[in-house]
Amino acid sequence: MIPNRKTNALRRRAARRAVEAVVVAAALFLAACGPGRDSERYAAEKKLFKARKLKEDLYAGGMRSEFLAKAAESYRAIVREYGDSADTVAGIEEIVVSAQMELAELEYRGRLLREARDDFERAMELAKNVPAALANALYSAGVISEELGESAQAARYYGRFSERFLAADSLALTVRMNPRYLVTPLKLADLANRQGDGEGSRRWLKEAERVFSSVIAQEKDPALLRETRYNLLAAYLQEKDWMKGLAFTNELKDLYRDNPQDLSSLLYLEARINEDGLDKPSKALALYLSVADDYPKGREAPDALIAAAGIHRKAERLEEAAKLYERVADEFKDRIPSVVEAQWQLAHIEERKGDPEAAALRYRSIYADYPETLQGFEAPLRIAFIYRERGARDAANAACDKAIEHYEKLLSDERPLATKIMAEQYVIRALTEDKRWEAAAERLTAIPDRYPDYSPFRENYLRAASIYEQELGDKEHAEKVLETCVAKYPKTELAGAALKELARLKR
Amino acid sequence: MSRIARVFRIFGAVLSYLKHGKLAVPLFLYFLLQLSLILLYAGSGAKAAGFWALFSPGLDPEAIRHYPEHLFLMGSILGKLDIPLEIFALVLAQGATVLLVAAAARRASMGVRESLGAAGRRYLHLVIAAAAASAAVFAGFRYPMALIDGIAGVPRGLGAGASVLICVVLQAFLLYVIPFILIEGRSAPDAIRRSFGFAGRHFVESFLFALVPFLLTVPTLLLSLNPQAIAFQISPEFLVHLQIAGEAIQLIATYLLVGGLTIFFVETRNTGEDQ
Repeated sequence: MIPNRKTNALRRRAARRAVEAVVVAAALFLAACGPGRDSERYAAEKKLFKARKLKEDLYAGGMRSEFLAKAAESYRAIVREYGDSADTVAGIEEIVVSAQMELAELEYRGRLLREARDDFERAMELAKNVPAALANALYSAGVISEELGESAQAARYYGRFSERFLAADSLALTVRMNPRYLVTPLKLADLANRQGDGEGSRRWLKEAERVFSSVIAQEKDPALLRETRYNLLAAYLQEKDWMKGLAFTNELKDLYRDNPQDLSSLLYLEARINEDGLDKPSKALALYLSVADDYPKGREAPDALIAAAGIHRKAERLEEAAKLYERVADEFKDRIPSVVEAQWQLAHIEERKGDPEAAALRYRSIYADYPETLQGFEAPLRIAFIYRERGARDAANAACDKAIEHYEKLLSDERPLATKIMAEQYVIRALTEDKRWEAAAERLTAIPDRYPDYSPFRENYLRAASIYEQELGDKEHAEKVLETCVAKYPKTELAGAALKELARLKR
Repeated sequence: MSRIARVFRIFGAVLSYLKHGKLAVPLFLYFLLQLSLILLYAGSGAKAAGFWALFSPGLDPEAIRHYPEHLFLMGSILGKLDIPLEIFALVLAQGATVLLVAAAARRASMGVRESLGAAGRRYLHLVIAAAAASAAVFAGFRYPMALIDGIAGVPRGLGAGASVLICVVLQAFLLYVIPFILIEGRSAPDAIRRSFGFAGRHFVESFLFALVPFLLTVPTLLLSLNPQAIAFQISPEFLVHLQIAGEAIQLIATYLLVGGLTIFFVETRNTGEDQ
């Protein structure tokens, strides 16, 4: 009995120890539990990770619109859910700002430019305390406005950016964020110039010189210094101060004499100055050729040949020009944009030489080999144009059918969203250039539903109504189209414009 | 019958014993303990970062507070808990399994509580033996790995393979410690000495008993080597599934190992082959 009792006592003690160990572990666990706010941030991080995963899948899958909408919504949900906690919970503000910025970037990649700009606007409000994000949002909104062709709006964003981030005391920090931000005054000068504001352009170019000179004086980083020196040179060239530009080019050639890529770039710029600024085409031609001959592996070699060919072309030396374009096509096969440009120019030369068949052959090879380039989209319509110009109506119609067939093929393939949007626009262009008004109007009104997230297509209703009214003389149909537009997009600027048109038609 | 065929015949017998469900109960209880820890870790999110950091000295709790880093670190943090758990808890489940399988092999009857009680009575010896075995296997892996530290490519792979092989051989020599303690009533030091002797006399079988269950765990082991890649390719939550799958496979491998070596031990000792 005694050993049994002893064993039982030992067992009880062991059990007690085990219970004590569990209690201590539980107490430690509870004591180590952080505040509930940590959980909120953790949940937000989790949602941001999932949204990023959707974004990566979207990029990998060729930007299909249904996935784009899903990824965008996951970012929007984060901003909606955690926007109010941004000021109260540490770490949430960065998550919300990141989500908003990534949403806008996603829309930009999907070519939803207006939506992207609106979302960068919202990011500016959210990122008041996150300078890097605020700078990115302001600059990106400016770039998008430029792409939308809204120069005044772009100038406003760049102006705000310049005021906030390019002041003398902010420059050092801004350079570290992104050296590209420094070119903002150059962009502003260019925008002012395009709006006919010469005085404004000069003022911004002076500001650019101040910014670049200040960075050159302060910076030690060789890569940054090089980039800024090139920007300063760009400012001189934009200012059309050719002599100053030429002198600075020579200064840079001396400074970077050991780097073949720099020498190639500077020689190319010297050629441009001679061609565009000093009106010395012969000297420019020689310089362009020496860029291609002395630095064939340099970035500028194919562009230099194209520029040299352009000088020959302007002087009507078409054979010499063609030889240089052929050289680009043969020697720089991996430089697609240059090769396509050379092929395009070769086709043009065939046109100029009065050989439409040879030109059409070259245009065909452009759109077959490089369908997603701008020239690839233009080429099928150019063939139709050649025949139309020569009065060959049947051949022009056949070329137009062929062009539409080509664009339809691009639409049915697994292509990126941006390519499909371009293809849709070119189908419309093909139909209108061939005056197939009914087909064009029908197509215009069918497209918006196929791309519900791409808002520029919504304006197709106005264009279709105008075709029905002006080209087909069918006011009733035009009214119907406008009414559909108002019903589909109520309380929008577009609906307002459609209502205005409706009122005019009913008058 | 060849030695290799005998080992696989014994593995077959171990699996056939599963029809008496109770044989796997002690190891299954240990699996439930591991499962609870995994779910507790995964479910606590950022809240218990300080607690989990206690098990990984030098690790900033802030690193565990964020998603998905919290899940990336799960394998290494719970891995740190494995050694004490193996020494203080798994050894008890292994001991109970040895007793249950030995009873089944002798066509005798034994209950789970009874087996746990019997193993509990020899707990101190089991813990000492398990600590010594863990230290030996740890050293057997760590020191060869330290020697190849800084070497890259194929030589490093060969070195790592050699370390694993050393561990499997060491494990083979320590396989019979629990049967010697529980079935023959030896002390921990005596059981370790006798296990080395017994395994030496039956090296091929012992090596296979250690190797085959280890090979079963290799796929999940390899998958867990690069948690970030899995997280980005599939989902960070998949790491939780992987950890659970790893423990489930570990349960099967341990049952095969413990069951197999016990049957072999009982057969060899009973038939006087080992004399």
